[in-house]
Amino acid sequence: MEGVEDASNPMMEEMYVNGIGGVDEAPSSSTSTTTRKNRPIISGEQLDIEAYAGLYTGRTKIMRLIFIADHCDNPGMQLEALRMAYDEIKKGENTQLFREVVQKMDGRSGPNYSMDATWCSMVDRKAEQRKEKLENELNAYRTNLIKESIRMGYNDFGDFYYSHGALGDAFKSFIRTRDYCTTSKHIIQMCLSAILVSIEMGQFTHVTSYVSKAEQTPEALDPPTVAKLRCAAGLAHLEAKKYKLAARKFLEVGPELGNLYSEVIAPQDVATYGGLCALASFDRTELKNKVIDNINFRNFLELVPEVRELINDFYSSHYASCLEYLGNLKSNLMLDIHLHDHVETLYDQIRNKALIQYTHPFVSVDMRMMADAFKTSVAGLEKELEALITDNQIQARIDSHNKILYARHADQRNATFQRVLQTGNEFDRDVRAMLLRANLLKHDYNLRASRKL
Amino acid sequence: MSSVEGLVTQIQGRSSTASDVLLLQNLLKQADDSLHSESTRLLPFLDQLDPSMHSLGYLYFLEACTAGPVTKEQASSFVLIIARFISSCVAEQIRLAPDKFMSVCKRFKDQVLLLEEPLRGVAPMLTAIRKLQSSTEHLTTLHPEFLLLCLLAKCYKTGLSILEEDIFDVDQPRDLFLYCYYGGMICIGQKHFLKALELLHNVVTAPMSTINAIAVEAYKKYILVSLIHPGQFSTSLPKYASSVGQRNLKNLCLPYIELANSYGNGKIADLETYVQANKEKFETDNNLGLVKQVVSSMYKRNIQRLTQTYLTLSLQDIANTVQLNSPKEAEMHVLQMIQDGEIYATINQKDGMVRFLEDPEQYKSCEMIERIDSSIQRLMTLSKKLTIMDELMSCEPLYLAKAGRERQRLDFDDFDTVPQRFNI
Amino acid sequence: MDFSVLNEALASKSFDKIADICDNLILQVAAEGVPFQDEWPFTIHLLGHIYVDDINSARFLWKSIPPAIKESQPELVAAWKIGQKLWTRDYAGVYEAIRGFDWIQETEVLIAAFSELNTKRMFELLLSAYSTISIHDAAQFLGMSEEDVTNYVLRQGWTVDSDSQMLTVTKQAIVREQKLDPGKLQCLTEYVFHLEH
Repeated sequence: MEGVEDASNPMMEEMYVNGIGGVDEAPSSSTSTTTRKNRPIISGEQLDIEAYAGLYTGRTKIMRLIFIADHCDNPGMQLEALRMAYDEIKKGENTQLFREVVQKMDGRSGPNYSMDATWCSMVDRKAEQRKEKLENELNAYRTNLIKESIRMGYNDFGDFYYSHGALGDAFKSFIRTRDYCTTSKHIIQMCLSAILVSIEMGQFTHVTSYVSKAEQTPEALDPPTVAKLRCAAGLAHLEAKKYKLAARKFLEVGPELGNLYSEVIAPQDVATYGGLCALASFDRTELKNKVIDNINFRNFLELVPEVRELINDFYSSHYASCLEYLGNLKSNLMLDIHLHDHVETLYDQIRNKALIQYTHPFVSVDMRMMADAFKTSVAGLEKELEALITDNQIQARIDSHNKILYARHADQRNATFQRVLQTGNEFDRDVRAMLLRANLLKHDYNLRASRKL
Repeated sequence: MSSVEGLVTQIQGRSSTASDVLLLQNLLKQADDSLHSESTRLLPFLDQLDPSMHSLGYLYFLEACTAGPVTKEQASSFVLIIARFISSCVAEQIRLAPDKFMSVCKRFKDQVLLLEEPLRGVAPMLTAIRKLQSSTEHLTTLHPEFLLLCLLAKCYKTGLSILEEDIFDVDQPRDLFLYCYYGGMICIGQKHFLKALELLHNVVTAPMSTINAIAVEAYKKYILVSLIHPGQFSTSLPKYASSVGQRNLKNLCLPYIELANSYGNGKIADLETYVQANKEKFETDNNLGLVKQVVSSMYKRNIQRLTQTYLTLSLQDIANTVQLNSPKEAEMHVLQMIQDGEIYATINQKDGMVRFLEDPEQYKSCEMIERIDSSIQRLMTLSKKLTIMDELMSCEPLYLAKAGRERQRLDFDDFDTVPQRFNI
Repeated sequence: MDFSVLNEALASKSFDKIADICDNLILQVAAEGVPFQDEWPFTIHLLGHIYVDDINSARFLWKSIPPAIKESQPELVAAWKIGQKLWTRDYAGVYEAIRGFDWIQETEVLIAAFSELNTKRMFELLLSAYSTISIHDAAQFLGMSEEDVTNYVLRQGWTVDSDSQMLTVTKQAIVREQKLDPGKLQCLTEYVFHLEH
């Protein structure tokens, strides 16, 4: 399942291979990782599906294309995505997906992209034969009790099921290799396979557990594997809406990742997910230390310059520009299979952070200026600020008459006195009630005791 | 015949010194049954006795007289006799026979209600309480009767005076339930919601082995009052409430819990719809008035919330946010709240704005120091009381025995004050 | 019935004591069992509660009065009207209720005292609650004509803007006591000592 690649900084190659202003060449093959592009793939412009798909390999490529087709509202784009999915599926052996895609296309792309029943039956037949062969082999190995062969047998089964779309069976097969692993490398291989299948199945709890399992054998981990594991962990956290943890994981991914994990994630994604989650959940210090000053991560950010720009804008308080970038990116981000469910929340959090950060240094803020900075109306801004104040994220009060926001510093002395008097009253009340209850219990007890006597 | 006369002479002769009175008491106890058998004849004998000197004897006679059923005509004369007795009797003597005194007073209350003149009973009952109490911390059976009379006669203010006193010593748990429930109702009538809450809280969390109707009714009012006053209601009872209460109270008061949930959402329209839909239920419980107060308190709550967020706000915006019909209505609401001291604000009619202010209390005045001082004194006294009770309890053999038995089940550290010999 | 204490209070103008005196007296009298309602001065009793701003008690008193009495004493009904207006916070209505009846001499004294007190209270309310108020509304709150109210507030130091018909409120500074009794310091020292040990 791993691609055979030169692991020395392939991303930088990608970046500089064509130089600026190069001609847009057609991608050589969608599985090749040396796609020639001079424009960033994740940007505010309409998504170039081919280039996007070129970042991935294997099943995830197909699933992502289908996701884009399901969620974009542009019929041209939809069909293009489906066509590419069709082509990709035909290279593989998953007839179930094939049928699904054909149904979605509904014959709209012409006769070349319609149901190919012969292909289906051929693939299914071959599958049956292969399965039988694998079973026989496995049984033979099992009788002979050769651990390594049994392990490889189960692995083959796993691969087989995976390519046919039987994810549950694939997962079980991979897990069964556990008992036959003899070296740490075997365990790592098993974990990575389990992780891959779990991600495809959407079962991220498994992902987390297998990541930690793999990390328990640090001696066998080489940097690319470490990077892969961190990506997987990051995805799991993202799914669980733990944005801070997700950000930290993505930011720790080393440049060794390259395209080595294209069956799961592209380096552009690492940059985007990591950047947005960090922006939504880190405070300024952490943002500076872990993102802006992070040399490794800078490489990733180069791939998505708009995300890099918006992070810098946020840090330097150019909120209008930051929000503009975010707005432009939104439609493309919504087409991303992992980020789709989280875009709104992340955007809200980023916006709120921006509002809070804007008001933080000031004693009073002119709401009209602030509304301009945030590209909203004064009334809208007032409502947003009201929500933040009620939520205690901003300590301030709104002068609705003059449209000014005043910082409010609680008077500690008065507050203390108030609390003291209140505590005194509560203590008074509670102790009296307690004494009363004790008295009642005593009566009850005495009554029962006297009855016994 | 002669035994009664003889008794009368005894009473007249032996009521002067304390030792004589004790002897007299024994005599009276022995003669009690015969007195009861001649109850119809006893009335004229009362004239021979002076309630201010022969209180104990008078009491026995009076108790026997009133033991049977009483007609309305008899009631009016009895009521007068008992009232005069209560005001003139000697406290030390009647405390020797507290049960008899209490039954006489209870019958007094019944008769007053029979005559439909509860006002007549208020003053005598108050005097009776004072004479029966061993201290102001002592709750007698007469306390709830008194409060009931106050409620029926609409003398709420008089009822309040008794409620000011702290109670620590209770004769009968049942008295406490009724006392707190009636007391809560009186406080609600006078709009002393905090005190009402305290009293109702005591009923709801009191130890009880089976659920009783008073606790249920009290809980309903408790929910409503806690919405009116502090504006929060938590559906879980505190840990020290009885397990019976925790299990059952909520289920018996479901419409009220629903009301509290609806209140928590902050939408006036929803609340009003809910109230309309369940109007009969609230009416049968006699709680409709309170429920209406709950609804109007929501406007207050919403306006108060605005003071946390805004420094100035237009009357129109207030009206919109709080769902009032016009800025003028909003102005009237805000004015009322300022008058009642619920918010600090000034209205600017020229610009149609309200400016919210901080609490002007600076905690720097002499009055404040006095307040804090008296509060500290009070708390020190209470603390001492608590310590004394704790010490008493720790020496109680029954408690030690139980703690010793339970030692294995519970955390050892809590009980290392219990000597080993109490282990099972 | 012995009304000497009550009459004394009325004569000495201790109007704030009337409510308590009446409350106690009525309980005593009722305990005697004598029918007293026809002779009881309910009007004074009611106004006593209204004077000390205890509208709750006034309401309860009104509820407990037998309907026959209410019908036969128009003055009582008029007195209750004042209480009602106060209960519903119909501030302008209070003045109407005060002026809308021809009170007998005995009651008139109490009514006059209450009226003055009420105006003073209303003025203090306006002082604390408003920064600007229209002349029209101020007239309503204080029960005066617009001209009278303007003169009244000018004397108190407010300013008038006749174009917008608005009055601007000026507050007098209040001096609060700040003296500290050395005895209190002694107490505080004792508390701290107590807590430390």
